[in-house]
Amino acid sequence: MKRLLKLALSMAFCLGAVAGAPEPVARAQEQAAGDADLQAAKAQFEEAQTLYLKEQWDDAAEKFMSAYDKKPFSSFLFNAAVAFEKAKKLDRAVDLFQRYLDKDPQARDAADVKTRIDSLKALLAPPPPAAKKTDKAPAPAAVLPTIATKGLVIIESKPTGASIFLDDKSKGTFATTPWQGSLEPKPVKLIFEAQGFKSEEREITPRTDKVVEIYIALSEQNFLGWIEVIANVPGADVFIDRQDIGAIGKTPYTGHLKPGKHVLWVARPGYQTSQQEITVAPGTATTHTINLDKVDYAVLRAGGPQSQGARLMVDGALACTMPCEHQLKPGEHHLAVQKEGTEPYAGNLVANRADETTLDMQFSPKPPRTKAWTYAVLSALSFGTGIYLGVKGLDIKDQINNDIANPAKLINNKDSRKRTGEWYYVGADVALGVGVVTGLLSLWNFLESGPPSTATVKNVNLAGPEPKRLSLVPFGLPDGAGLAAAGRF
Amino acid sequence: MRRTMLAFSALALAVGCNPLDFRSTLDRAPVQYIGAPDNFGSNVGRTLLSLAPPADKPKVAARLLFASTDMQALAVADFDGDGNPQVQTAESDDLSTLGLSPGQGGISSAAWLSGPGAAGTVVLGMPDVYGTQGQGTPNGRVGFLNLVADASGKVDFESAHIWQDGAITGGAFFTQPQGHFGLAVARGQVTQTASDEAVVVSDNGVSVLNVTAGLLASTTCTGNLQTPPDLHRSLAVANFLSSGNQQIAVGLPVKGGVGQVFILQYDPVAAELVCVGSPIGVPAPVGNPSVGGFGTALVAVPDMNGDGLAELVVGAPPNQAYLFYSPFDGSTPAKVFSKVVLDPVSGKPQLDPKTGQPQPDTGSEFGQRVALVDVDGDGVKELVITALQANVGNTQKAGQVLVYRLNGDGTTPIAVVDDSNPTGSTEFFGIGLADLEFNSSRACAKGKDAHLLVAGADAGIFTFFRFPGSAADPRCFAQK
Repeated sequence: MKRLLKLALSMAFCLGAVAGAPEPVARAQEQAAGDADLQAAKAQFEEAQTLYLKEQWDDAAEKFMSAYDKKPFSSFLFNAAVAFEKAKKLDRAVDLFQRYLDKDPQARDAADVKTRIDSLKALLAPPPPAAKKTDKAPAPAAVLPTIATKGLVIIESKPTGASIFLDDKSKGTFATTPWQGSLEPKPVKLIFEAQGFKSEEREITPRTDKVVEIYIALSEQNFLGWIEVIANVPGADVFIDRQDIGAIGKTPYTGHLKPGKHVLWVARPGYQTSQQEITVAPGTATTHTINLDKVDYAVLRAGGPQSQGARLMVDGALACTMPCEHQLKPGEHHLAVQKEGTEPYAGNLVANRADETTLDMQFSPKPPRTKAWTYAVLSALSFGTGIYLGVKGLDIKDQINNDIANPAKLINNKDSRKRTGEWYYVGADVALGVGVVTGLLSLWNFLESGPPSTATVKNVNLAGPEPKRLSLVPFGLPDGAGLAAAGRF
Repeated sequence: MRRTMLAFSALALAVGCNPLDFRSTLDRAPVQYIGAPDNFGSNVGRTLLSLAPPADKPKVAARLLFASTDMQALAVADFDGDGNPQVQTAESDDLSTLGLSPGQGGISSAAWLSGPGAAGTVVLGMPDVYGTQGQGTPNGRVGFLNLVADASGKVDFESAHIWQDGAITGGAFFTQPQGHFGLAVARGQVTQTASDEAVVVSDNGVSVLNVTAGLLASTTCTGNLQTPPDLHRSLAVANFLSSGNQQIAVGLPVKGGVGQVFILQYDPVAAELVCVGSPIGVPAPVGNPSVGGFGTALVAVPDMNGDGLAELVVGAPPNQAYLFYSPFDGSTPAKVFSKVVLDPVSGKPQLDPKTGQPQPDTGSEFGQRVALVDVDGDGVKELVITALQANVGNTQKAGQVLVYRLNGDGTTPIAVVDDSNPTGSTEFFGIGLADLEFNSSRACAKGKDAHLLVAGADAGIFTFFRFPGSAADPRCFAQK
C-alpha cells in the first residue's frame, strides 16, 4: 500500500513538475504522509478485506467500522453493512446500509441499496398472525441478489473543483474533486478538467481490496516559454534575473522560463560578461546567441598557505594584500611578495589578455636572529672591554709621558708600568679584534638570508583552447640566485 | 647596525693599541736601564768601564763595558745617537782566551788603555782565578783584551795578551805569587809618560805593567799594603804629588781595623814603586767610629786648590767621604761628605736628640763608591757618592747616589738619585759608577763635553740621560 502511495505520489509529482508547479505535489505528500488517520483507515480497510475474504464476517465488519472511525468514507459503511449481512446480522446491516445512504445520498447505487434495505427489513419482519391461523403456507423469503464489498478511490486535484470524467467526456461529469468513492474494479480512464488549466488524463484500475489515491496537479494553459542560449564560448555561465543565486546552467543552455521580461547574463572568466534583456512569451521557443569578447587584461590570483597578510607588489607598487586577486595589463611584470618574518619572493611574469595566473606562495621563514644578536652583544662587550683596556693603557702611557716630561722624575725604560701598559694594550687589541670579528659575524648573521620564498605560478589563458602552465621557481646559487621556469604549453 | 659596526672597526683601527708604543715611549725615558744579558747572573753592574767612543762618532756615541764579577761574562753596551744601547756580549772563545773558567769568579775590575787595539785595550782584573796554582788563595790574573770595531762599527773583542802568574803573552805566565792579582786595575802613566800603563792591585802590593814590556815596577812597601783580602781595594792614579809621572793612591779598607790610603810613586833609580809619606787615615776629629771602611773608594779630582796637582776623594763607608787636597798633609780633609737621616715627611735632616746634630745615616753605606761625572754639562765634574744600602721609599737597602758640587762651599747634595726601578732589597744601586762621555740627542747635559752618570746595580745598569733634578730641557725630548 505504501508502495502504491509512493507510486501515486511520484506520479503526482511528475505531473506537477511538468506543470511547473511542484508546490501542490509537496503539499499532497505532506498531506498523505501527515494524515495518520487516513493511513490507519487504509490499514483497517485492508485488514477488513482480508478478513472478509476469509469469511470472518463479523471481524471484517468491525474492521470496516474501525476504518470508518478513522476516516468517515461512506464506502466503509457500505462494506461493513455487507459484512454484517454475510454474518446474518441483518438488523445491523440494515442500519449500516441506511447510514450509507444518509452519508452519501447521491451515491450511484443509492437505489439498489435502498431496495436491499427493504429486502432485509422484510426478512427481519415477523410473519403476520393471520397467516399463522390460516392454513396457507407462509410466503417464501425474498431472495437477495449477491452483493460484495467495494474498494475506495480517493481523487484530489489542484485546483480543487476540477471535473472528473470517466473514460470519455461524452458521459458527462462523473464528479468533481475532491471525490472519494468506489469504482468498479476494472480499468478506467479518468479525465480531469478545470477552466484555465490543461486537461489531464489518468488510467487506473480500482480494486476492491485497496484504497487508490489519485492526486492531479493541473498546469495552467500556455504557462512557460522555452529558451536556448548559445554562446561562442562553450561552458559560459548563464544567469537569469539574478547573479547572486548562481548560474542556472552553462552554454549551450536550454530551459523554460516564465513569460515576461528577463535579464540574461552570460559570463566566463577571461571574457567580458554579456548582459541583455529578453522577453519570453508563453508557449514559445526562442534562441539567444551570445558573442563573448575576451577581456583586455589578465588576472593574477595570489594566495597559498600562510599567505594571509602578505603584500603583493606588482612593478614596485602595492597591488593587494594576499590572498587577493589583481588585474594585470598585458605585458611583462615584476612580482614581489613580502611578508613579515619570511624571505621575500621576486619573479617576473608575462601576462597576456585573458590570462588567469595563480601565484601559490610557499613562504620561507627568515632565519632567526638570535645568533646575530648574540654576536652583537659579544661584539659590544668586546668593544667595550677593548676601549676600556685601551683607555687604561693610554692612561698609563700618558702617565709615563708625563713622568718623562717631569724633571723631578727619573723613570727608566724598564719602568714596571711598561709591562702593565703592554698587557692593557694587548688585551685591548685582542678585545677589539674579537669585537671586530664578532661584529662582522653579527653583521653577517643579520644580513644572512634563508632560502628564498618560492611560488608556483600556474598560468591559464581563459580564452585559449588549452590551459598553459608555467612555474617560476627561484633558486639559490653560491654566488647569486636565479629564476627557473618550467611550463607546459 | 652596519654603520655602527664600521664605526667600531674604524675606531679599533684608529686607536691602534700597539704594545710597542710603550717601548718607543720609554726609549725616551731619562734613564736607560740595561738588564743582565744572558749568562751574566747577578753582579751585573759592579764592574763598569767607560770606553773610548768610536772615532767617527765622538760625543754622539758611547761605549760602556761591564762584566760580571762572579760569572764568566763580559759585554759592551754600544750607545748610538739616540742613546739606546746595543749590548754585545763577549763570545766564549774570547772568554776562554782570558782563561776564565767556571767556578773561578769573574772580572772584578777593568781599565781602558789607549791602544794597541783599534778601539783600545781593556785591562781586566780577575782576582779569583787560580790559574796553575789550583788551591789556596787564588793568584788572580790580569788579562789584556784588544777591542776592535767590526764592519758595522760595533765594538768587538780581540784577545791579545794574557798575563798570568808573572808571564805575559806566548804562554809565559806571571809566576810571582801575588794573591788576588787584579783586585783593582787602573790606567796610568806611572813609570813613563809615553804610553798608558796598567796599575794592578793584589793582596800584597801594586804592580805596573804594560802590554809590550810586561812588569814595569812593583811596590817595595808590600807589608804596609797587606790587608785582609775580603774588602774592596780601590785605586786612583793621578798627578797627586808632582807633574810628570803619576802617583798611585791605593785604598786599603780594613775590616775591623783602620782603613788607610797609601800614595805610591815610581822610583826610576830603583825601578820600583815606593810609598810616599804617611798613609792617609781617618781624620780626627771627624773620624767615624767605624773607620775600617776608609779607603773603600778613591777618585782623583782635578786640581781645586790651585797647586796644579790632583786632589783625592776617599770613600769611607758606612757614612762618610772625604775630599783631601794634595799633598795630603796631616790627613785633614778639605770637605767631609756624609749622609744624614731625612725625615720622610718633611725631607729635612732628622736631629739626634742627644747631640742636636743631624743624625748620620750609618745604615746607608754612604761612601762605598765615589766617582766624578759632569752630570750638568758645565765642564766641571760633580762628585758622585754611592749610599749602597740607602732606603728608597718603601724599599729597604735599595741604594742611592748623591751628587755634590766640588766647587761649591757646601756639602749638601745637589741631587739624590734613587734606584728608579726598585724591585727588592739589597739591590746595590750605585755599586758601580761610571762617567760616560756622551752628548747624544737625548743627552740633556749641557755643554760640549757632556757626560752621563752611569750607576750599576746587581741586577742591571742605569744610564742617566738627564741631570738628576735638573729643569726640563727641551733637547731631551726633541723628536729626531
